[in-house]
Amino acid sequence: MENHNGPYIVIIGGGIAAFAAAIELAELGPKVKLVKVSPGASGISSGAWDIADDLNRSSYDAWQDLKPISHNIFNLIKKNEFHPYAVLASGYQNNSFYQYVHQVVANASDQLPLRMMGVENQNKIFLTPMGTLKSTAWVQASQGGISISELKEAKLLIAGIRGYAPFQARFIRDALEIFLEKQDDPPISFTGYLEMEMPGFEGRTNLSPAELAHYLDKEENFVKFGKAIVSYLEGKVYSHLLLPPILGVQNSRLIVEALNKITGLQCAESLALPVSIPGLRLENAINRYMNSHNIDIIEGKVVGFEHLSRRIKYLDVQLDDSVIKIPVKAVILATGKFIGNGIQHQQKFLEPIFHLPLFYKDQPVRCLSPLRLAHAHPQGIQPFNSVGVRINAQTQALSEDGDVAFENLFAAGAVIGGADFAFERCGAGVAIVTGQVAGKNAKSFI
Amino acid sequence: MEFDLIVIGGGVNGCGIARDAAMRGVKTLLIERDDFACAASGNNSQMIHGGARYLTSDLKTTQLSSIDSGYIQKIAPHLIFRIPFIFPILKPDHKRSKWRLALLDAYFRAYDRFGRWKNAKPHLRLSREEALKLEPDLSPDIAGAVTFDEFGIDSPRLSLLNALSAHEHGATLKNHTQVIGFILESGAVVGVKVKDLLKGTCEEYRSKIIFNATGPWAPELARLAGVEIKVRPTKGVHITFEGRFLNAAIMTEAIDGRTLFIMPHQNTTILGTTDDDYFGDPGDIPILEDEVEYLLEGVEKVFPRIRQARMLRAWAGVRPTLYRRGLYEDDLSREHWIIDHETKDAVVGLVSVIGGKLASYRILAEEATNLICQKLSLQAACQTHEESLPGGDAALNIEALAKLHNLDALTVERLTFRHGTLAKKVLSLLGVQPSNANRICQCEPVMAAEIRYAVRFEFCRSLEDLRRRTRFSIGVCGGNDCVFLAAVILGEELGWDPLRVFKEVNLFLKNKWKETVPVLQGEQLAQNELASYLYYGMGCIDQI
Repeated sequence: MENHNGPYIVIIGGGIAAFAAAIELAELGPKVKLVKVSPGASGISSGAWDIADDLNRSSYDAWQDLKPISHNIFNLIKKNEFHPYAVLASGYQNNSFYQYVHQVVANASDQLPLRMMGVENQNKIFLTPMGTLKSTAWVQASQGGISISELKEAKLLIAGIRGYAPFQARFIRDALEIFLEKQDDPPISFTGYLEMEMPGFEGRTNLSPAELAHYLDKEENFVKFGKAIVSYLEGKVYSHLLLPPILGVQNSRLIVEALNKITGLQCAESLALPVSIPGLRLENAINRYMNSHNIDIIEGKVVGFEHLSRRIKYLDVQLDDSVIKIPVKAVILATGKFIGNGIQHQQKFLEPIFHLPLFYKDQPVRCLSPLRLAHAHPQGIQPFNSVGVRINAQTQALSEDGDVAFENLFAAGAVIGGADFAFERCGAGVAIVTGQVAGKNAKSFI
Repeated sequence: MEFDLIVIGGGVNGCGIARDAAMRGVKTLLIERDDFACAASGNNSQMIHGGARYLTSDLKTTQLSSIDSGYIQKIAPHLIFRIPFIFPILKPDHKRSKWRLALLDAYFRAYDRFGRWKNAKPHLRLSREEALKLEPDLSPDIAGAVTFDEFGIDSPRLSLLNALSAHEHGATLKNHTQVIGFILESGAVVGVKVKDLLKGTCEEYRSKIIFNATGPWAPELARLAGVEIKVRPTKGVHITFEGRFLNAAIMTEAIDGRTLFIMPHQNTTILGTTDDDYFGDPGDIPILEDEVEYLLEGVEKVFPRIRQARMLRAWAGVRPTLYRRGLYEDDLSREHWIIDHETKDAVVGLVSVIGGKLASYRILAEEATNLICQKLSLQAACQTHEESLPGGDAALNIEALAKLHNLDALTVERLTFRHGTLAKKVLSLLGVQPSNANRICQCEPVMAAEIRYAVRFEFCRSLEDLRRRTRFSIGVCGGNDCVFLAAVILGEELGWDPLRVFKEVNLFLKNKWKETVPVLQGEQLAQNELASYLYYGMGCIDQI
C-alpha cells in the first residue's frame, strides 16, 4: 500500500452520504481518510434506499400505478426551494436533473459490495414488519424477491419465527388481506401464515435478530432452516415466502438463493425496522468498500480544526487515548442529523465540529427551541427535523450571510437542512446525490 | 339496572369509595369516562407523602396523610417503596445557612412525630461532607442537609387496585363510559344516563345515591343536576428523566421559594412540581416551555447535573383544590370536603367530594362511605385499612419464581412490584402460550403475558390504559420497541382488525406527542428522529 503523509481529503461520517462521496474519491485511495464514530442512521436502515415518495400516497391507492420518482422529486422541489434536491437542481435544465439523480444512485448501488435491486425512476412496494406497505426505490437483493406491486396471481406465505416477537406473521397477513381487498386487480391471489420453530432455538423466547442472523450465516444452519420450512409446507401450494429480515449478516443473498432452491418458493425478507440486520449489512458493506479502495478508516471523533482564512488546514481527531492532527486539503461533512450527532442540541441547535450556522429553510435557527419548531401532531413534516446546514449547489456549507463558510468544506446527507427524510422519504437519494457532488468538488482540491 | 350507589369518577377517591362501599355490602356501580387514574390520580407526584409541606399551615392534612400512609403501606406493600430525601441548604453566607439548618432540623423533628404512623426513619442532620458523600452530585456549595423519609407509589395502579378490589366485592366497573345526564324525579337525582364511549351505546342506571367524585370536573357534573359547587383547580407539572441518577431524593426551593423535589422513582427520575391556577380543560393540559425551565432552574442550584440528564416526558395533573379567593396556590388547603347536596341544596340523592390528596384517599373514602351507609341505613364497619388490596396479601420469593419460569429476576421483580401475589396468576399464562414470555417492552420490562392479563382481568381497553397498568413505553426507547407489538397483542385480545391496530397506534403516538414536545431537546431529538423513521419513514403508518 502506498504511503501518504497528507494533506488528505477527509470524509467525516460513515453512512451512505460518506460512501457516495468515497466513490468519487476512490481512485485517490490513500489520499482519502474517513473519520467516523459509532453507527449512525444508515446502520438502522430498513434495507431500502428511498429517493422520493409521493407525499399524498395512501396504502390503498392502486399499487400498479405509482408515480414516477421524477414526479415526486419535482413536487419536493416545487414545494420547498431550500430542499437539498432543489439546491442541486438549480444548475440543471428540464429533466436532466432527474436523470442525473437516477444515474448517481444506480452507480452507488453498483459500487456497493452488497447487491441492491431497483429500477430507474420507479418505486415499488414492499411489506414491512408492521404489516404496512412501503414504496421505495432500491432494496437489498435478499428483500427484492417479493415486490408486491409486481406480483401476479401470487400465493404468498408469510412465516414468522416462534420466540421472535417483532415479526408477527399472522398480523402481517391479516393487514395485507385488508390492503388486497381494496385493489382492483390484486397481485396476490392467496395468502397464508405460519409460525415456525427455528432449528436450534426450539422453545426459546426473546430471540434477538442478531443471534438469528449470525446463526443463519452458517451453511449447515440455513440448510436446516430451509428443510424445516419444507416440513411445515405439507403439500400446500404457495409460490412466494416472506420471512423476517434476519437472513444472515454476511451471506443474505446466498441464504435466499439456497432457500429458493430447497423450498421451491420465491423467498425474500421483509423490509426491516430498527434494530436492523439489513442496516448492519449496509454498514459492513460500506466498510468493505473503504478497505478495498485503500481508504483508511479512523475510528475517532473530530474535536477541533484549524483554518487559514476560509480554508480548513487541520482536523484534530480524538482517538481512544490521544488526539491526532490530520492535515487536510478538503473536508466532507457527512455526520448525519441527530442520530449521527451531526446536529446536536444543547440549550440550542449546534453543528458541533465547525460551528456552522443552522437553518430551517433559509431562516437561521440560532436560539429557536425545538418546541417552537414542532407541530401539534406527530405526523407530517416537522420543522425541527429539517434543521441543518445550508449549502450551495456545490454543497459547500454556507455562513449566515450566504457566503461560503470555508471554501474546502462540503456537506453531504442529513447534516444538510431543508428536508425531513422520514416524511419525504428521500434520505438515501439526498445522501447519495449530495455525497457525489461533495466528493466530486472536494477532489478538485487535490 | 338498579344500584344502591353509583360512583362517578374513577380517580383514587372514586375507586376508594367504590371499594369501601362494596366491602360493606353496598350494591355499587363505578363509572369512569376515560380510564381509572387517567387524570390527577395518575399524574401526581407518585408519592404517598406525609405532607411535610403542610406541617405549619395545615396540621390536620399532615396528620391524616401520615396515618393513612401507614395503612396504605399495610394494604399494598408491593406497590410502595421508601424514598429517603435530602434537604440541602446552600451557603450564601455562613451564618444564615447555619440558622436555616437549625430551623429545618427543628421542623423535621416535629415531622418525626408523624413518622411512626408510616414506618419512616427519624430525620438526620448531615454535615456538608456527609451530604456530599451520600449524594456526590450535590453542589459543593452546600452548607449541610437534613434527611427525612417519604414513600413512593405507582399511583395509577393504586386507583386500579381499589377498583379491582371493589369488583371482587361485587361492584360493577365501567370505564370508558361517560355520564351524559342525570335522571331527575321531583327534585331528586335517581339515576344516570351514560354512553359507552367504545361501543357508542347509551344506557340508564338507577341508584339510591349518586356520588360525584370527578375531581376537577365536579362542578361540570353537578351542574347537570342544577347544583353549583366550586373548586380552584391548580396545575402541577412533572418531568420524567431517563434512569435513576440519584442515590436519594432531593428537596429544594424554586426561584419563588416553593419547594421542589427530584427523586429516583422506579426505573426513572421524577422532578416536580409546579402549582399554578389553571382555567383550561382538565382533560387537555398544555405544558409550557416556561414551566419546564422553572423546574430545571429550581433544582439546578443544588443539583447541577440536572442539565445533563435526559428528559423523556413532561406530564401534568390538575388538583381539585377547595375554592378560596385571595390565597397563593401553594397555600390552598389540601383538605377534602364531602358535600351532601340533600342538606346543602335540597337535591336528594346526590353527594360530591372535592379536594383531598393521594395519601389521604382512604380516609376520605371511609368518611364518604360512612355517610353513604347512614343514608342507606346500613350498619357496617369500614375494613379498608385492614384488608389487603389485590396482590398485597403476602411477599413472594422472586428468585425462586424466576427460576421456576425460566425468566430473568428483573422481569419477575417488576411484575411482582405491580401485581404482588397475583404475579403468579400472570405467570400462569406462560404455560398456556410460551410466546407470552416474550418481553414486549424492554425498558420496564413487560411480557406479553402481562398485556393479556391487563385486558382479561384489569379492564384495559387501549394502549393508554395499558401504559397506566404496566408502565410500558415510558422508558428510554419512548415506545419505539413496544408500542406496535403491544397494539398487536391488545388487538388479539380485544378483537381489533389490523386497521384498528394502526389507528390505536396513531392515537397513542398523538397523545404521547403532547408530553414529548415540551421536553424535546438534547439527546432526545435523536430518539425522536429514530421514532419518526420507525413509524413513518419505514413503517409508513401515516399512509394508512
